[in-house]
Amino acid sequence: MPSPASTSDLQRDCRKRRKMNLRAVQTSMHYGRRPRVSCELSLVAEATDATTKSVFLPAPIHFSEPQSYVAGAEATAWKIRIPREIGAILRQTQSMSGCVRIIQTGLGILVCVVSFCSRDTQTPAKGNAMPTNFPTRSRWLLVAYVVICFLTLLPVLGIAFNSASSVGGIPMTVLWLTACFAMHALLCCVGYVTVFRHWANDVDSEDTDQRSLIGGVKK
Amino acid sequence: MTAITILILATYVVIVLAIGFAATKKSSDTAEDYFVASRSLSWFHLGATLFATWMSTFAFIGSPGFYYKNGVSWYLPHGFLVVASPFLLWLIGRRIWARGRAHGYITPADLLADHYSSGLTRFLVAIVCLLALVPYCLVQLIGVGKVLEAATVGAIPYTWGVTAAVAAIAIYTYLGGIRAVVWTDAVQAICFGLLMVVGAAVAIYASGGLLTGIESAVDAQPDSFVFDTSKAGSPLSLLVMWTCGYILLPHMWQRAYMASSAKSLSRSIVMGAVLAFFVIAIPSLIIGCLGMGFLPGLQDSDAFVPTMYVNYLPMAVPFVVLATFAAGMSTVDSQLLSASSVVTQDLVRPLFGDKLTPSGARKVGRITSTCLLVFVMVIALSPWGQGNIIVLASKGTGIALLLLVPLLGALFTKEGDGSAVTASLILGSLTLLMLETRVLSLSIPYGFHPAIAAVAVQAIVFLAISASASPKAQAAS
Repeated sequence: MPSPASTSDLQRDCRKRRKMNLRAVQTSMHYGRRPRVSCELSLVAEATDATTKSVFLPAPIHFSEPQSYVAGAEATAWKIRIPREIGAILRQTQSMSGCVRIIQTGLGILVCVVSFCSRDTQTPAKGNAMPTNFPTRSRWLLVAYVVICFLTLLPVLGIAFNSASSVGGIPMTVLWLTACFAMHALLCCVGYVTVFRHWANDVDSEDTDQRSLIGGVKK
Repeated sequence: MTAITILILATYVVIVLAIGFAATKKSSDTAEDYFVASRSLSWFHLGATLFATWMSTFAFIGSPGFYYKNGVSWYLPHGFLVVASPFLLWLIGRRIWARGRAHGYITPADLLADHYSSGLTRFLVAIVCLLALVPYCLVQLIGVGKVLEAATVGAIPYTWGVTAAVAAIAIYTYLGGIRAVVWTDAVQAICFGLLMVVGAAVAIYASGGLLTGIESAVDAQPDSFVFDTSKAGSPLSLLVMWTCGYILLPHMWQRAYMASSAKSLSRSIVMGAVLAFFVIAIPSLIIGCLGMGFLPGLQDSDAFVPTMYVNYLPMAVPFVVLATFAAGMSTVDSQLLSASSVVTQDLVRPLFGDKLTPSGARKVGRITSTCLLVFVMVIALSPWGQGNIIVLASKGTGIALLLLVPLLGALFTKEGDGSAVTASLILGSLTLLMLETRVLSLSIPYGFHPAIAAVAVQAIVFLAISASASPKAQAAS
């Protein structure tokens, strides 16, 4: 927090910056460009009012909403609007932290999925008698399994859906987990139709061929 | 009511014995037939035996009780293990099946010892398998004893219930081997699957409707419907242990060897997942959670299901006892055969080699299963051997989890090193033992189970030794 002795300097600095910003907005509007207004929040908040809560962020935040500033290009509008914006952002950040984490993790999984599915087929491990390598459908199935597993874990990790609040008469946690488990069961059915059945037919027909080659002698 | 219960049980045991006797006529005198049914199970038999073996008294009695006690924190591992674990059969089980078929494996140690070319690995894996089977076998007998006692309001004491179950299991397992077990599993699966659905209906009726029941349960125990994220490790540990247990517990592992064809295996996966979701996961949740509202205050959560039937549908009590008997028997018989196959193939055969004839192997198997059954019965009857079904069974799955790293190493890596797997098994087992017995008083963050810490140690040791051994092996080759 800046020391009280430097408040007048801050106010002066802020006024100067404000003028520069307003000029930038007006110039941008004049040339039909999207204006970009920047200010250091700590300075602005301190300068607006002694009672306003000071908010310190590690780096300046850039606002790109010309209408709100241009519509009331008065300095007073500035003073009120910016602390409100900060509060709104902070409130959003708190409530949306779960969503941000979901998006981050989801993006991470997506990257893994794309890289995994775009690779060439793998060679079987040592001693593996299976005639399969790892075809694309199997990969997608595995990826879907991993994604559903991740979705299932959202409540226990405290990311989302961990609430006893009722949705259609059923607690949200229970509802979410049930939906995920239903997806697991469905995935097995889809897996059978798309992958398991074809694999099984291939393996069994190879087995039949081998048996017929050795004269129908059962192993 | 007690007389009716005994009559129904006696009839059931006679039917099961008849099936077991019929199965002996189909059996041939080989270890492969006795332990893995000559790898000839159809999709229906395989699916039914997977379902019946995995969904034991823990699913029928322990699980609704654990919901009743712990709420939604058990829904995650339980729902996951019943629905997501069949998929593991696709990822891991089909590889086990393929190798078993190609090389004629019977036990888990056959696969691992062959892959790592290590006799010591065979011995260690056999010991881990036997240790993992004991707690899981124990909970079946405890479940049967508790239900008989609670359902007959003490007319049939716990001791009698356990003894009767042991006698019935010993006879038909001795007679027919795995074929008898599989045939009876199909009957037993139908039996307790039906009772699960009926149980859910009783719970809904007792609580005055599904939504009303949920509402009163949430009002009674709101905390039970939210996860405590500071202790997220506990449900996550149970999730990993139980889901992997589907493949790693020796009797389940051996079922992957039994499929007659790839088609049988694939179909049984689908059957297992769908059946488990509708017959186990949802009914268990309904019974346990609604119970918080309409039958609060029970101390022994394992007695919840029989108490519910006694209070709200007394005429179904004999069938509850029957279903518990079926659920327990269908699992214990498989575990006994698995244990006897482990002793015969992994501990006795390496000592005697070709001198051990097929009939001799069967004889050793029968003696082993009888000894193990008596041993487990003694523990079940002793006061220090009793406890909560889920907690005890989790100890079994925790021990079985020690096979995860060696198995993944064998199936998915190209390097095979006997010293790495031996060291990882020894250090992992020691870590688990010290943490479980509190010799090592280490508090694991977020409430993770000691088995997870043991697997972490195993993985580090396995990777480190494999990495250091790989360049040497390459240079030597």
